[in-house]
Amino acid sequence: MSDVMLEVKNLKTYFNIEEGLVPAVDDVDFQLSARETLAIVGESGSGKSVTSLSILRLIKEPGKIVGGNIMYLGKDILKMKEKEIRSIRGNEISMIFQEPMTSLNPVFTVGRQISEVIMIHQKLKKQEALQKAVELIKLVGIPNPDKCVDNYPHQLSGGMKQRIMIAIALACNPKILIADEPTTALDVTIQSQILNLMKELKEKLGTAIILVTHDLGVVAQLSDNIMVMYAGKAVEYGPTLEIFKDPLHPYTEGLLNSIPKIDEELNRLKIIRGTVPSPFQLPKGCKFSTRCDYVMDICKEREPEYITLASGRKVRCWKVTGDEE
Amino acid sequence: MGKYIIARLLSIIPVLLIVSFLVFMMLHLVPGDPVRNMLGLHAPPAAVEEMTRRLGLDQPLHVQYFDFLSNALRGDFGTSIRTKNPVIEEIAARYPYTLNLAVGATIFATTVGVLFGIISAVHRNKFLDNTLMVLSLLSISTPSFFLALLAILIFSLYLGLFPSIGVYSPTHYILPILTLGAQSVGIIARMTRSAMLEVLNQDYIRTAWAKGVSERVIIYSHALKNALIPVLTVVGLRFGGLLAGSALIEQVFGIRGIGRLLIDAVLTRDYPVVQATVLLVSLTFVLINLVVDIMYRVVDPRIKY
Amino acid sequence: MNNVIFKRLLKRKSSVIGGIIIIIFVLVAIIGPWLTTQDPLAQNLLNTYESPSSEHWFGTDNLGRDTFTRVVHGARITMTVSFVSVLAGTIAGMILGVISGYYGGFIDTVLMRATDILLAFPGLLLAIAVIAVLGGGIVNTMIAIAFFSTPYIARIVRGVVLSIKELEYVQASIVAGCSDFSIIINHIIPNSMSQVIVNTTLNLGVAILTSSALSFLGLGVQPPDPEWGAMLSQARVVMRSQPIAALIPGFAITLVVLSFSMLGDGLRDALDPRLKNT
Repeated sequence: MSDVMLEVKNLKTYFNIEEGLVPAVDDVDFQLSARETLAIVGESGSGKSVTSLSILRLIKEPGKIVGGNIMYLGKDILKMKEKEIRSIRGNEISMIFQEPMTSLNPVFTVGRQISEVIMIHQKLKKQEALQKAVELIKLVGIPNPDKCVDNYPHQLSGGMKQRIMIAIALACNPKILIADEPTTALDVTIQSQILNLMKELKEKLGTAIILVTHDLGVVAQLSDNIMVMYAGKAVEYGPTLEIFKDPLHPYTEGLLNSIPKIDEELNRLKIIRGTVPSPFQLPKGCKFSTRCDYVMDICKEREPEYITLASGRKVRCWKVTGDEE
Repeated sequence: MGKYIIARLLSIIPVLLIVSFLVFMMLHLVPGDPVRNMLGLHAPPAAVEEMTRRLGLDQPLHVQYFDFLSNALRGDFGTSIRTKNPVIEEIAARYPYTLNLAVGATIFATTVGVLFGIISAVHRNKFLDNTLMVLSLLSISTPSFFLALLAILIFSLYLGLFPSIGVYSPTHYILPILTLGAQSVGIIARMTRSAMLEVLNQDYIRTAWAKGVSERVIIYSHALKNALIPVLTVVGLRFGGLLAGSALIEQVFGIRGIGRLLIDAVLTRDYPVVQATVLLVSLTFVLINLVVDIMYRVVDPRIKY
Repeated sequence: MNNVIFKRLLKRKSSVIGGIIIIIFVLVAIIGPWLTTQDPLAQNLLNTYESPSSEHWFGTDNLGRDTFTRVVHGARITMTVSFVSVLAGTIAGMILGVISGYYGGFIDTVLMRATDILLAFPGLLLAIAVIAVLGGGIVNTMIAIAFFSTPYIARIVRGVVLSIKELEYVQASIVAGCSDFSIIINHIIPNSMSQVIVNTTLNLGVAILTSSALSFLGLGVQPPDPEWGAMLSQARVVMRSQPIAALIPGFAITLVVLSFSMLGDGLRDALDPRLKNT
């Protein structure tokens, strides 16, 4: 994969709430190339959603991006003026969210919500934009697009709403699509429909995708590469197939093990012992040390570095990288 | 939609019946003999008898009520004890002034209140927000008649800017409308602020940001259209409050509206006038609520009619 | 639990200020009249329209009465009228709410329709209507105000009763034979307390505004009683010669109502479980 489009370096997004300071994203790096699909995987609280929101600077008080660079085609998004980043949002980089039920404005028609993004970025007139909206509704597989365009969100099902979100996101043919848990709130059957749709569109339009999810099944279907996050930090990165075959970080291993295999007999589901630590009581040293089966003394003392291995894979773990002093 | 309007119109009939019954009963709930109250305790018995007969108070209750209703529907509310004119005439002469005040105050309060509320919400917890909210609280807590007196003092007597008595020209309306509406400005501002804050927290606002929509469009279009829905209800309710509150303003500014008519009637025990005025104001109020209800359904597409 | 609420309340400067002013007001109302040296009703026609002086801190009014003394005595009247009427309204509302929620059925429907209609109408209009029937004066004013303080409380308490009725531990109490009365005392009242307190505090402010409005119109407290609204009505005559002093009662009303509003706001936020909204 050549042409790196997006390069995130040392991203830090902190939340300053009543109980204290939460380092939701704590020094995260990753890259995205053209046509690549990168999955960001982790449990709730890992910081994956906040990472995705940070890219388009959609973080609101009490959260703040406090450090790092987000280089998009050579320019730092974090240093851009408001007008510049507005021209990128919805246009070159788009985003869809987890809750289709509440992500559409209830008082505007679906057609208006789609055509709006077209009118803002492509300077088309209202009629032409609506025309395009109808085509987009057709593209995302909704029947009767001419009727649908005048519908209000409450008249559509969850799956249809998410398709509309996708239509809005792809309306201006973005180079990057950020999808934050796009199928989590949907029924399983609808989930696979949406995923297939995304696969289709990805192939047709050549969009690069950042897919944020906790569902490894979704990851397996769509992504080229995976970045695993835990407690605000990136702990592993590599091509999907390789990680599935040979997970390096104990957390990744645990995640993969907890998926029951169809040809295996199980009395109990395998779990990762313990729970995600509260952001105010993060363990000293490696953040995963309290739940790790391979924990060593050094893990409790010092945080491991995020090391790039010879294969190109990255991992943050003493067990893998050893104590290289 | 038409069906809905008809259905709603029909539904207010029971309410109107109840209200008319209560208004009718007002006369009969008065402790002591209402006629004696009206004519004075020392009135000669012959006059009392004649009045009792003329007002039909010697008839059985249900007959009286029926007469009351049928007369009311024909616009006949009897004669004012005080001025001896038909009540309906007294009211017709004065109602326009009160309506002008109430409508003017509503427009003023809604425009300014919504604006303040939006500004407060957008600058939440900062200086502008805190100032506007303190001002709102102040406006809610200040009695309107006191504000009116202050306004006359400052603008009329000291600065000589606006006239203070009567409504002989459009300028005469300025101070009354501003002082009548002031309290509502505060209420509407607070309501708008909280509605906007709630709306601005919604996911669909985040979607609008992600689309690259400008802040101005997000606030005044995407958010406001949603926030106006609860604000509309408050405005409707406030109109009733303004109708009632205009009695105070009319008193201070010497305006011949029905508020003053009502107060004078209560003080002089002019029951026919009292009943008619209360009935009329209630009717207006119920109709306004109906209109708000219908507009509600026009503005919010989620509500089916 | 109460400590947490109290602390949250203290955090807001405005509610603290409001609370302090109210306490001062209550103290003035209770003790003040004993401390004033002059008679609020004593006329002195030789001394009318005097400006503020060391003898008359706020000057004298059109009948030579000392304005300061009248304001202090007026505090007692205002407090009495508003506290008594709102308290009566709250108690009446709670009783009605319990009856409505507990027994349900026809009584409930009738009561709720009645509160609907009552709530929809502007308070001042209702008060004037009540005065029209009963006549003016201080007692009737209190009745009128109690009248429109009742509906909202009734709804709140009814709501609490309805939600409590379904809870398991309440049903268990009923099965165990606890009397209705004990359920009311032990479950319903504590759970509705926070909303009732907030509403009552705000109602006190409204009551003061309404009673002074009624007195201003001549419908409420009658002269020569030094009720603040009535004093403002007289101030119109005096305004040209004695502007500010004549308006002192108005500032007093505003200050007290403002305090109740600030305190009520603070209470509402402190007692609200979903604190993080504003």
